[in-house]
Amino acid sequence: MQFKVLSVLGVLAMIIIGGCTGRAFAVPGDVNPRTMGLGQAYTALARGPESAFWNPANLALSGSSDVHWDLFRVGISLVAENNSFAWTTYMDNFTENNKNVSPNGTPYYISPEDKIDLLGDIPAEGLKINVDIDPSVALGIPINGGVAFSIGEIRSAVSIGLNAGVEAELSRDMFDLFLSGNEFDKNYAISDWDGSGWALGTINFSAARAFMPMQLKPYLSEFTAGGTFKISLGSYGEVMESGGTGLTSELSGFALDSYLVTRSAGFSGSLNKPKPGLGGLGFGLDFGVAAVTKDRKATISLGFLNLLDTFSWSMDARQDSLFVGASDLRITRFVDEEISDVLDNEDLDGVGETDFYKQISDEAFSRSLPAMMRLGVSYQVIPKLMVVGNYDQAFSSGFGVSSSPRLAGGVEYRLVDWFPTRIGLSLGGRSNGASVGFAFGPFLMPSMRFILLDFALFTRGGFVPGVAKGTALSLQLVRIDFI
Amino acid sequence: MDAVKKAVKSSRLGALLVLGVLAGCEMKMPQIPSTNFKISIPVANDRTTIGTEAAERADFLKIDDQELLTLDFQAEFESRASVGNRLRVRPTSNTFATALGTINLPGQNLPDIDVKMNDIIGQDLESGATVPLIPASEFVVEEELPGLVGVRSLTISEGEIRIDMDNGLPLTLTNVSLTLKDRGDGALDIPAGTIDVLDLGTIASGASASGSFSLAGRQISSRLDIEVTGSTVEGQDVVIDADAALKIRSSMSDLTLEKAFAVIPPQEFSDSQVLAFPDDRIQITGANISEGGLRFNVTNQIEIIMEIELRLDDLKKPDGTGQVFVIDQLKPGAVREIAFDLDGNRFEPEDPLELQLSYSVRTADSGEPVQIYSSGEVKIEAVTEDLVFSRIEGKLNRVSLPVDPVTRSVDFPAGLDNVALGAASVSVNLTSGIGFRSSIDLDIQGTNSKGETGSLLISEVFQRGDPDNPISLVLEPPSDELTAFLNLLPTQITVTPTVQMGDGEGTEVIEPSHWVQIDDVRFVTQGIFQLKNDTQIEPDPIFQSFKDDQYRDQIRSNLDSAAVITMIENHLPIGVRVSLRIAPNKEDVYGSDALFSGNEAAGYLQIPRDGAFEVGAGEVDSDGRVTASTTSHQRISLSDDEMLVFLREEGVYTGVLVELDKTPGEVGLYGSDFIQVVAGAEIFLELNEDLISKK
Repeated sequence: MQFKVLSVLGVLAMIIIGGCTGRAFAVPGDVNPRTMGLGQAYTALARGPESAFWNPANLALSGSSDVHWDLFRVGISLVAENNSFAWTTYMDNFTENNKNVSPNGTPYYISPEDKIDLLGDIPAEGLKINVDIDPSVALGIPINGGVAFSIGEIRSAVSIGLNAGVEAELSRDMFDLFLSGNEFDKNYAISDWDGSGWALGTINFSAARAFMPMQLKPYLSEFTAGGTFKISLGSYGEVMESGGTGLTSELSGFALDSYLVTRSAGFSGSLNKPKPGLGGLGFGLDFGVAAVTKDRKATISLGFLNLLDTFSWSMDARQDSLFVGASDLRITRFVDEEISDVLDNEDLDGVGETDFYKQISDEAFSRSLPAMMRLGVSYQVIPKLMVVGNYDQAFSSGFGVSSSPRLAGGVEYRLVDWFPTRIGLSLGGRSNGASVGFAFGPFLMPSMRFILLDFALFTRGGFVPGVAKGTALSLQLVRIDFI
Repeated sequence: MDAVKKAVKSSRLGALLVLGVLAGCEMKMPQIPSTNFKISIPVANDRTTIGTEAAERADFLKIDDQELLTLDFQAEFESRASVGNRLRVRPTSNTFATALGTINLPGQNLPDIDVKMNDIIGQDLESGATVPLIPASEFVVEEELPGLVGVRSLTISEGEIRIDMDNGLPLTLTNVSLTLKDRGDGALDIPAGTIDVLDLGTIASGASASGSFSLAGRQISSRLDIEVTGSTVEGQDVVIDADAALKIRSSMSDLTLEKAFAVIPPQEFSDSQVLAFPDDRIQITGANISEGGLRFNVTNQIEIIMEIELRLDDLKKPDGTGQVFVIDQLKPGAVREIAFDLDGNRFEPEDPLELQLSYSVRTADSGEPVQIYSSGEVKIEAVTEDLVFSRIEGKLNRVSLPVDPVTRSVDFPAGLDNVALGAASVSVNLTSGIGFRSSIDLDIQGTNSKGETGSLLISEVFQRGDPDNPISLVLEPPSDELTAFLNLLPTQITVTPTVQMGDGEGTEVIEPSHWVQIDDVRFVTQGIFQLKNDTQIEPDPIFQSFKDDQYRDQIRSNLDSAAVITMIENHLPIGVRVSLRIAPNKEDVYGSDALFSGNEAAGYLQIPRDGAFEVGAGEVDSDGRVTASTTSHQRISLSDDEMLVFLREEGVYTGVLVELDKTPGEVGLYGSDFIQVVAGAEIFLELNEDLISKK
């Protein structure tokens, strides 16, 4: 049984520490294999309904058909990453690649020196992990896709975005405890927790129009401006504050002191048996402009996403304090006493059981999606080669977005029209990363476009998969668009 | 359609490409690694302060005002003992006999006797004639007295017959003598004889003389004679008077008889007796009797019907009248039983220790001669029963009021055989609602854990209480034997109190509703003791077993080593040595040191291997108070063989042997004194698949 659990944990570890990414997603729907393959340097390339996820002004750029409907698709994008352990760390220590033998003759031995190295991989602020899931499905109604159409000179789109994710932060001392056990006269700071989790959906109504300012006419062939009105909804939870002295290991006894303050919305029921539901409703506006150079080789796109965003989390909203405390913990107390007596936690609600949390508020709260500026450039070097670049600057963090500036670049090469290959690099943001991708498609039919397989892999923390500390994988098995 | 065909073809290529990318990651299944793991476990942090220990054993340990530890426990009674029906006395039964004493017979006048002159001179002379010369001569005349009325015989104690003689003769009589004679009564075996002689000397003519015959000590019949003798002087020219005579008048005085055979007129006599109390515990000035009575069996042993009036002079009925009972027509030889119901009577004796009774006897007129004696008796047999009082004014002298015993358990820790306690005292908290100065007797029995017994009897006087406003008292009777008794360390003490009401001196009032309450009996020793010898405290061993064979094997195979870390701070004035003993059976836990020497394979282990964790006594000042602790830090490494003793399949018994150094003299333990033992274990394991996986 333990082995199965370990296996599952191991696979999860493989995913988390396996490779890549450096997420800079601002809105649900901005992930697909092509964007990931180009290192998320996609602002200047977005067209059709997906423009709503990058820059609504792109809707009015040429290259888009009058009508674009993401009719059918099956795919998913999965991001799992950490900031500490590389793939090789896992391979060298926790697989049969570990050839070390313990003094007792047991294989897969992790020596004290190895432990020092393992702990050294974890930054002082602790181990951070995050997991994001972006489904990409459509059966008439697209998820993370949409419909674009023209109304006169106005190019419009209605799109739906959906994203769920979790990010968490664990202290390094916790791994120290797991790996080496405890020493007397030492404090283990295991009370510093952070994290959040969310499931967000957006309905985006976008419109853009092409026009040409007289001053730019000598340089540009196209100039567009657009905006998106979005309705956001979903559920959310986050750690607002954590603290405590952690675990103090003394000869006279252990002391444990740790607390969290969390808030959430969209989870009915008790804290230990939550029932997910709708927790908040928000509105937002995106704005952007885009331009194509006179020679039509370069496209410049500047978008401001979530710029006027407001999100009120009022349904099943609650704020809780979670806590655990104990003092003078000794083995004899565990033998002689019930766990409820060992801990300092009290029966706060008077129902006869030790309480580990207390709801401290049920008031609604506001937590907006991070506003972000996206500046993208694409350049058609030759007909088969496209080079792209992106500068992302989020103005706050959260929902998987880092406020650190991020530079990304990518190349898409089409050996044949239906076989694009992509590579991408990114610097900054949550971390550096590299990506590769390819696709089979599009295959064009009258009014229809097929993509049979679209795939991308993003690694975090290093450009070589073996030393990366996270991976993002995006896979689109099939996609049919009406155009 | 071309696009569709291209797509189908390219799907295979795509799959190969995806696999190729993933193959670059070289995915392998995880393996459970092995590594050295250290578990540091705090095992104990016991700061045992004397004050805390005393609080935990507050039923027999206290911290006194000087902060010294004292043995202080009490037997709780809180039982009220009421006087109830203990105010009772049963007068001693007795039998009384009162003799008739004397028989009184009233006096009577006897007929006059005239002795004519002719009878005197022995010749017949003519009346009226003058005789010239009558020569002197002697004469003897005997006259028969009339019989005594109703008398057949009398034995006389006191009495007389009065004689008045008038000489009506014309001659002077000289040497006149009267002799009272009893002619006797053969039927009553009374012989004839002289009763008394009366010498009247010379009686001139016309003169009188008198005298008395004494009857005292005489038994007489009813037939009496008087003989008169004398001489006449010569007379000349004596005129003879025919009526001239010597006149004798006699009367019998009231007689006091010893015995009589006669018609007995009513006789009266009386007597008074007392029924004594058996002891002086209850001395009554006045009392109300709530219950009780007296019975008397009265026997007439006199041959005359009689009437008896019996009186209990100290008692009055509820209506205020006296207790009198009259027996009439009590025939000779008859017995009559009478009973006095004394419920509600008021009792006010003259003597606080007696109940007085009196009786008067009156015999009927016998009507015919009866033979009675002055020693004839009336016999009264008093049969007593308890007299229960509802109120007593008087004195009590140790009237017992027992209180139910109380048994108190004292949980002395084992192993304190060598403790010598300091001086001890006992105090009694009681509330007295008894208005007498009294005393309390404490019968104290004790048994210690070894079955040894001891006993102690302590008494103390306490002042009078107040029934209307009961007084709480604290008695502290001295006892030389108490300290020795408590040094027996009795784990079970039975205290049997008995209140002895009254001291026999003060006069007070008591009623059945009065009470005394023993609140508690408290034993206290001074907070000073001595350890006469090195002392071992051997707590009961605890059995420990590791039942999961699989985990035992896993731990055994993965255990590298272990260490025990101790920090002992001794703030006691006594040196302490502590060692942990592990043995395969209970009896050996505190066995000889040899058992524990290199005998891990047999399941014997002592930590530390040699000796004990030893901490000397703290530094003390001149008052014996600890001013600085002594601290010991030790780290004892244990081999895996030693650790495996704990994992024996059969289980092991563990015990903590505490050894206390003997003290050079008496020491005091203060509430703030303490000993702190901090202990931990460091266990070095190899974590691996074998330890984690459940097979």
